[in-house]
Amino acid sequence: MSGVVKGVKKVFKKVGSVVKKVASGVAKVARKVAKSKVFKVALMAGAIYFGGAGLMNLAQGGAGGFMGGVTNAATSLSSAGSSLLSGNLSAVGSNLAAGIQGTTIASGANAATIAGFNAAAASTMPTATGTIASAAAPTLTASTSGAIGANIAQGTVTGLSATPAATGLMASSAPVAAAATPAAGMSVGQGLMASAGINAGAQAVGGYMNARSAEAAEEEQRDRRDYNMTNKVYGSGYQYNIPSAFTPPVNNQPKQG
Amino acid sequence: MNIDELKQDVESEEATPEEEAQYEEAFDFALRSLHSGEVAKNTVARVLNAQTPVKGIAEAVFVLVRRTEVQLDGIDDSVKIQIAEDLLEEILELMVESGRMTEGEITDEMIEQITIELYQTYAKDAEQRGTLDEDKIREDVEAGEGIKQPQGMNAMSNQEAKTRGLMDV
Repeated sequence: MSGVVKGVKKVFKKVGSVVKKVASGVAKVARKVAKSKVFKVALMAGAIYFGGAGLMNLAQGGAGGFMGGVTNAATSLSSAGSSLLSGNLSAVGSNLAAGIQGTTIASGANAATIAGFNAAAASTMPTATGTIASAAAPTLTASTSGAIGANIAQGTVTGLSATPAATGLMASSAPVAAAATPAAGMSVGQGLMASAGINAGAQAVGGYMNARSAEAAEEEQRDRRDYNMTNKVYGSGYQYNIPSAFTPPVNNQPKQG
Repeated sequence: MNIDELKQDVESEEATPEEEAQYEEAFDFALRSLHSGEVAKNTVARVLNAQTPVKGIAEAVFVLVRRTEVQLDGIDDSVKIQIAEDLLEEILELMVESGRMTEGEITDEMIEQITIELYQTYAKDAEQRGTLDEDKIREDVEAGEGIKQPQGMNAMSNQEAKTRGLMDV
């Protein structure tokens, strides 16, 4: 067995067949497909692109197994209005990254600041801010940053006293410098997820083995239609007259007038 | 990884006599299936009853390829791909011939969509049957020109990621 990429390299002699071209020589269509090689090129590009997405999802233990990643990648590609044939799969990698990360990264700005863990980022970390504000805002003091950091780390800010508000705390440089505290708290939240997601996105197509963005992929829910033909009637000459079979039944013809 | 470069690889090697023989057998079975009996009837139904022509045609090609694969007790991927292309051509021709579709509707973009749908359907089926070959998929992914194995999480700097627009996801 050869795989898709090796498989599309092979060229076969076209076979003649007694049943081929029943549809009396609309050869232009065949030429359009075969000569442009579009089918094989798209298949090869798709195998690389979707295969990478699927493997990445498998490596992360994402929901939906291989197809979870493929489905997300397809959704991403579709929603981006992009195309495998647009020319450059490296660019497509960013779409793939978006698909795999899903909603982990709410916005580019948020992701960048969270990943940076700098002072500005700390001041905009919603989880950290919310926690401190609710637990400690009424009683926080101008205590040393180390003590605050330690208490926050332990989840006990109640021992502190006096006035500075949570926002004041977060704006000061000292607690922010001890960024390990909010960072650790965010390891189960957006922060590290976003950071890992960006790295994984950067490695997108080729980075399936080491990617660590832990985004649960959605289960594929494509509808499978019921092709029950019990009540369909396509005419008695149907078996050997495919073109007529594709023609709508008479009672489905639009009414005149 | 550039599409133009990928195109140069397509159909760049002659099939072996064994592959040619398998192709002839597979082609005959697949085309006969498409044009006769219950399979033909169901194929038409798949195309006509689908949510979209893209989904319908992809589903029809998939079923015929799988049927051929089972009938011949497995076929080489290169043969499978060629059969799928032949079936796609044939079904599109039938659609045009029967007035269901105009030639102008058959664009590269449409064929790409059908191909993507077909790949997904085939992969999903293989996963459900427990026959998805991860090693082969890994080979495909690695074969993509320009793909490099990442060197850990720092394979690309944030600056590079930003330059390439990944920060703006």
